Order: sequence, then C-alpha cells, then structure tokens
Amino acid sequence: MLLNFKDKVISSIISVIPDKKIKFESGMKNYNFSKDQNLKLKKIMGFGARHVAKKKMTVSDLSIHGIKFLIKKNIIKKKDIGAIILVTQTPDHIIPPTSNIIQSKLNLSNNTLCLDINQGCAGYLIGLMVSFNILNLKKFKKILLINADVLSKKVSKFDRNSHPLIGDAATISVVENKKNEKIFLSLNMDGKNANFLKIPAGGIKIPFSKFTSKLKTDKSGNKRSLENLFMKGDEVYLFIMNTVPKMIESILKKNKLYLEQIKYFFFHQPNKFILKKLSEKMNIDEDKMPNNIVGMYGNSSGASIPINICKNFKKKSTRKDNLVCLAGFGVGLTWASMIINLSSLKFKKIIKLS
Amino acid sequence: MKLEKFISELSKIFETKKIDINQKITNHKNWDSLTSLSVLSLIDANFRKSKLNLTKIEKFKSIKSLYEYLSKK
Repeated sequence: MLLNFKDKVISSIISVIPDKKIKFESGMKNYNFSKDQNLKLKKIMGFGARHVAKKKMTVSDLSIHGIKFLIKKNIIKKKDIGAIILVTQTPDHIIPPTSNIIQSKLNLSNNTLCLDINQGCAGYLIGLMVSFNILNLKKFKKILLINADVLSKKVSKFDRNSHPLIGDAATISVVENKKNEKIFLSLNMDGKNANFLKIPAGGIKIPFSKFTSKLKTDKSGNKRSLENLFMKGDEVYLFIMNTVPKMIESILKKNKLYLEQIKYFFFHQPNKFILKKLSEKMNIDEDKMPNNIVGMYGNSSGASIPINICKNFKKKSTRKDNLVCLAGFGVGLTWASMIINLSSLKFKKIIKLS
Repeated sequence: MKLEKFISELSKIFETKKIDINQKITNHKNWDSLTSLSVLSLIDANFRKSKLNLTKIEKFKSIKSLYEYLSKK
C-alpha cells in the first residue's frame, strides 16, 4: 500500500552501540568453511567487525542509555515525551512490554503511551508509520521511537549464514509534528514466506525444551538449534532483488519524483553484497547508497537504517537537497520504503555502552 | 547472454577455467553457499527467470540445460 503523511519530522537520532567488538576472523574457526572460503566470504559480503551486547545487556539497557543521553544534553525534556514506541524482536521478557520497563526506569509520567511492536529489518519504517499516526491525535507530545535488538544472543556461532553478520544496537529517534514536505510510504507484507526468516522455538507453539536446544547440522554444514535464528539465504536474496527495486521505482513514479531528486538511499544493510547488487540493478551510485555500516557494527536489524543516517547523512542548507529514500526489507516478509525530507534533523550521534 | 559469456562468468565465480557444461552446476568442486549466491546474482542480472531458487537450480542435470532454460523467452 502507498500512504502519505503531512508535517511530521524526525528531529534527532541517537544510536547506541555496545562496546564489545568482535572481528570476523575470531568466529571463522566455527564455520564449516576452509580458510580461503572464509576469507572470500569476508571480502564478498563486506564483513569486518560486529558490536554485540555483553551477556546481561538487554534492549532496555541500550535504550535507556540513549534516552538518558538525550535528556542530559537537553535534546528532549521528560515532560515532552508522549510515547515510547519500541520496535524489537528480542524483548527483555515475553510479558510485560519492554517499553513499559523503559518508562518506569526513566520515571516517565503515567500519561506516556508505551507500545512494543514485533518487527525486524523494516522496523524503522513501521515504527515511523505508527508514530506519524499517533502524532495526528490532538495535542500529542513528542514520540521516542526506539529500534533495538540483541539478536546476536539468538544466533548459532556455527552458522556462517547468520553469525558473521548479526550485530546489536539501539537507536532512538525523536519524532514530532512540524512543518515538512509531504512524506511518502510504501508498505508491503507477505506472510506466506514468513518461514524464510524465523526463530522456531521459544514461543507458545514450540516452548524451550531439551529437544529445542539440540544443535542440528544442515546441508551446507551449518549447525543450529530450533532456538537459533534461521535464514533461508537464497530465498531471502531472491526476495530482495525481486521486490526492492520495483518498490522504489513505483513509489517514485506514483509521486512524480525522479531518482536524481533523491540525495541518499539509506537502506537496511544485511550485507555489502546485497547493497552492491541493489545499487547496480537500480542504477544508483554506490556513494548515494552507503554500505559501510554492516562491516563496522554488523547488521542490527531495525536499527540499521537510523545508524546509517547517523553515520552518513550530511545535511545541506537547501531543503531540497535533504530529500532521502529509506528502505527496509526482511522478516515477515516485509518490505517498505519512505521518501522523507530530513532538513529538520538537528541532532544525530553514535555513542557506545560498555 | 550468449553461452560463451555465461561460461566465462561462471569461470570467474568458480575461479577456474574448468567448466564442464555437461556437468551439474551443483556438482562443481567450487560450488558452495557463497558461489551459489553469485550464481543467483548472475541469473538475476542477466535473465528474466527471477524465481529460480537453489532447489530449482539443483534440478537441472547440466549447466547446458540450465542455460537453455534461462535463455528461453
């Protein structure tokens, strides 16, 4: 579906990265690949380092660290926070919502809306859509949109499909009502292929047991249990190549925009390979579609687009030069894109949590 | 894409000149999860068969028959 929004802005973004850094080489010995194959994997996929949460570090820890920073630097005042919208697939607990935990630890008023959303790689766009709609309610205050995951805890170290790419992070975006150019959103879902990306056990259908923690070897020699993230790599690749370029083409066309008017394509970064192939297929300069995040911090699911903006967006003085296209694709399956003017982004920063 | 070009692209992916077109692609000694991804990408960029996943590719009895299928309009 194609939607549009009026006078909404992202005014600040902070990214919180765990201090713990793991280099690709340190995980190599666990993959069922020769040294040459591993080094080729690293080169082609653009793997470098990943940042992962320490054993006891959770989504709420990373999020609270970032929000406290925003409050301390006077980027947002506590009394102006109307909602905490948290997009995560690795909540602190099944019950209660992690957003309520964050509210309590920050001593926010009982007038704060707390809402958890289960979404992955397109989670930034889903979170923005929900935020924009809530901001249409009369006199609604500012929204803290959190995208946070600690998926590294759910990945098998013997799975070279997922292990070398997953990183952990939290981002907090301040979303508010303010004059802005029209925002366009394309949102698409395909639950039929939801099995392409899945953690089978740990919910109600398949509870944790001795059986679910047992490692099993697949055809390619990867070992994982039912409690680990499973990704059907070839299908996910085909899904992305078949949907994303068409989606971007159509969101531009339907809104009478040209590729050249978009200054940056801040896409979700699963790996460098896919981004290079997307930029080739869509005829977009690699410079306009940054792919440097996954090799520095890892693929942190819904947080990867806001981290990408924090790292790579250079604001220009002319408004039209701040028009960007965001796109996320993955879990669900979900694929979404947004065209938004970032002229009102007044603060962005990446900080670490040790 | 001509057959010769297809073979030369495969030999770049597999990093060897030895490409036997009568052999099954998945039986090539350098076929693995990484080279298979490059093959998917080669097909996506050059042919109109966008739904060809690895399970389907595995069913072609030779590189030649895979190419013939890909070239069919």
